[in-house]
Amino acid sequence: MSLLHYIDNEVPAFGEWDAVVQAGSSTIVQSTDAAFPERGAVGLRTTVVGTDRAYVTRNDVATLSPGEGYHVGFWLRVPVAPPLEMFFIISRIALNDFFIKLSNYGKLRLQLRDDAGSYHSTSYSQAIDTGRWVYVVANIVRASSPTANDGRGELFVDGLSAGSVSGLDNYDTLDGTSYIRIGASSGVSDGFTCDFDEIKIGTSLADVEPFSPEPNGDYVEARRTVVLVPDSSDGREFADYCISELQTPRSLICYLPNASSSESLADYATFQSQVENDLTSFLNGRPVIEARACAFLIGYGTPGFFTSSGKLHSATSRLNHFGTAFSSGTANPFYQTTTRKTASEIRAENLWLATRIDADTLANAKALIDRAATIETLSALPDTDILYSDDADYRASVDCQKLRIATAASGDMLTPNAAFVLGVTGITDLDASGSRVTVVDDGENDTATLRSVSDWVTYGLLAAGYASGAGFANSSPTGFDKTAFCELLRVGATFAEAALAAVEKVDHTSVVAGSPLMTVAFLLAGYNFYLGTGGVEDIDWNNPVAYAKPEDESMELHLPLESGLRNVLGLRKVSSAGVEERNTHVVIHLETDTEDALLPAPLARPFDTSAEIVPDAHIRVGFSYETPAGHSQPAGFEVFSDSGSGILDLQTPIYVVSDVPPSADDVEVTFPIPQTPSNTIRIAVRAIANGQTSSLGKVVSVKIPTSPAVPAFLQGDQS
Amino acid sequence: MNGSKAQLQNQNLSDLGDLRGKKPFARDERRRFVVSSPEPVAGKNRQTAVAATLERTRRFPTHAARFFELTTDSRLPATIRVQLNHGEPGDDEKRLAEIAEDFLQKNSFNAEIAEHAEKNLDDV
Repeated sequence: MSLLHYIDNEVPAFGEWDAVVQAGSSTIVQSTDAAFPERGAVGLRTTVVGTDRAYVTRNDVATLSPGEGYHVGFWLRVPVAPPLEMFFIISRIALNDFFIKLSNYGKLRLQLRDDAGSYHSTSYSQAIDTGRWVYVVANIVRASSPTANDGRGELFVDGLSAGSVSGLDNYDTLDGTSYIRIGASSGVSDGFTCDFDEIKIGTSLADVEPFSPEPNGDYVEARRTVVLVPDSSDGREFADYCISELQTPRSLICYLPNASSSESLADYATFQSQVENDLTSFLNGRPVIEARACAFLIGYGTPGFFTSSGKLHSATSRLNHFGTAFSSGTANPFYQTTTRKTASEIRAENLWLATRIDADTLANAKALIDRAATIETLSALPDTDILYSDDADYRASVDCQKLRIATAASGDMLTPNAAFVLGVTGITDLDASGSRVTVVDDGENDTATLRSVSDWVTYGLLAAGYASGAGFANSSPTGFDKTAFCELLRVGATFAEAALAAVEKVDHTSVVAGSPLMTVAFLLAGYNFYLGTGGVEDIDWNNPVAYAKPEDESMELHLPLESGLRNVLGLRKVSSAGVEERNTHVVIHLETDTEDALLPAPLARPFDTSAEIVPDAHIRVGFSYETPAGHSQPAGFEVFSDSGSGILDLQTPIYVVSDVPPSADDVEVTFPIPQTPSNTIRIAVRAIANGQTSSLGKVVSVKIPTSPAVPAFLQGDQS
Repeated sequence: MNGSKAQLQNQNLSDLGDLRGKKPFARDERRRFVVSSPEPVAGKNRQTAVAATLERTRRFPTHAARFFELTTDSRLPATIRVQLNHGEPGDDEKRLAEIAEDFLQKNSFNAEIAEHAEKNLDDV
């Protein structure tokens, strides 16, 4: 297997071609107007005037040994409907070995010549739409011996076989080195215009795989998402919408020629014949895409269900497990995963992401893509959006806090300003307001169709303007993990990734509807709470224990406090860009006794204590205090002295400060000098509140000035 | 120097190989040669004179191109402009003869295809 020639037409002056032939006023040019949109700047455009030909030639294309063959692939676009037929690619050795022509009905035909000079042909049943790029591949195989009638040819359009011929004796016809012509080669008609680009000649179908752009990253994206549509007018229109709105590369569109218009198929074998087999062939012929892709979007009009063992199974759940034998209810290895997985990691688990977009009309199907785009353009969900869930435990959980979105119970109420409706117990209506990201019905209500309103999911998608939804196609749902679903969306994963992590089983009944690539920007601004045991230095700053929205002034927290120890709670602010500050403005000390009763917050001790003797035998004591974050406000202060003994008497304060202004930070009190046998006393202050005392502030000494001794009465002989 | 140096007369369709390796065209040189063109009725060949003129040459970073103009007798309705890239310039005359011959075969080729198309009406 090898790629023999790759002509992208980007070399100026037809440098990749051996000859350029233009007769009369007909032309073939390298034109930006003819460039394949996803690669390069120019392509080939041939324009016929009258009956004159214009084409390019590449010599020495291939020399086939007996039984060998080669493939020629190229992107083709017919800008205007062909007025008459035209042969636009011819492979030739001595005569015309094979050629492809386009009839005036827009149909492609491959014709091969045998040794007797007869032509054998096969045609693509669909007309080529004007203005649409299609990838055409012709395969020609030489007979294995002069007497063997085993030469053959096959025509592929957009990756799938469009017809074949076999049983040919073309051994002599293909004996030699062939060249090819592309353009208005023969049988031309006035006004015919055709564009060609990205021409590949190779041994196998996979060798001439159409160009597909390199993915931008390791995770799912449009360049890793294969879009499946029926090979019908509506299917092609939906595919075009994916190309323009989702930036799906053209080479990742898989047209399904055998897909019926039925949404639910009788059994898995029918699903295989209408969907899976052609998808397998498609990927087999495109190994580069097969290696890169990790997701499917099942497009408008494609079968979405099949019955197996009496249970309705979903196409999205089955394609989650594509490539592996169908086994109903296979455990999903990514169930409840809360970290993103790369495309390689997904495929390594034999999984694919899969969502489906279907609706009652093509317009409504396109609208789902539009709504997803609207949500993706939000830099953050509006703070008026609400997450509805009938699961009170979830709403109170840290996982839900993390989303920084208002929550409400979904039971018995309307749902204004909804972004998410996760579980629909008690819902009476899905109000058409809010961002309306997704509605999940994890109950017994069957989501057995996406083409009419049958449950809250389809009501949300078809009537209430929701962008996506998820439900179950059977009355025995296996549940939908809200935590994993929302957490993955929060960390930037796509809807398809989040939905896969939310379902317990694949090859099963979960129905996932919406654009697979939709992302949701939750509000990032707010506060993160961190917890530690001991001091601030013991806080685990890597793992928040709670989250708050910017406008939250109070909230109820359920924290894993250590009994009998001092727990320290720190808060940090998070910006609207999700950047967390490194300063810690608030620290709360939470101490419990051994019975888990929360003790009051500690008191900070006073500081900058001073003392001096003032007139009238008074002593003035001054000190400062402040209440650090996480500490209790003092109710008063106690002043102690050692009474000259050198030992502070903490049982009997010499003075109590009880009138503490809330904002004061400096205190000064004056009181009489206590009785003391010494001429020096020591003074210390501590804070008090609610039976709590702080540790003592700094001990200061003050010397008591002594008066001169009263002179003694002089006694003596007075005579 | 038009047409004076390399007029090739009586060239037979099956003997175009004799044109290989001739002296390369000079700028503005005009050469005449004859190719065969089969009539729609099998077994008849008709000799047709072809005039080839090298209009210009141009060197690109990737290749050298020779631009020719072919004219024939009245059986071809228009002038044929040919750009030859790569290959030996000495082979240009043979390559031009092949192209001209192919144009002259058009009628028989189309008749062959048309006959086949009538048998395969499923393409409409």
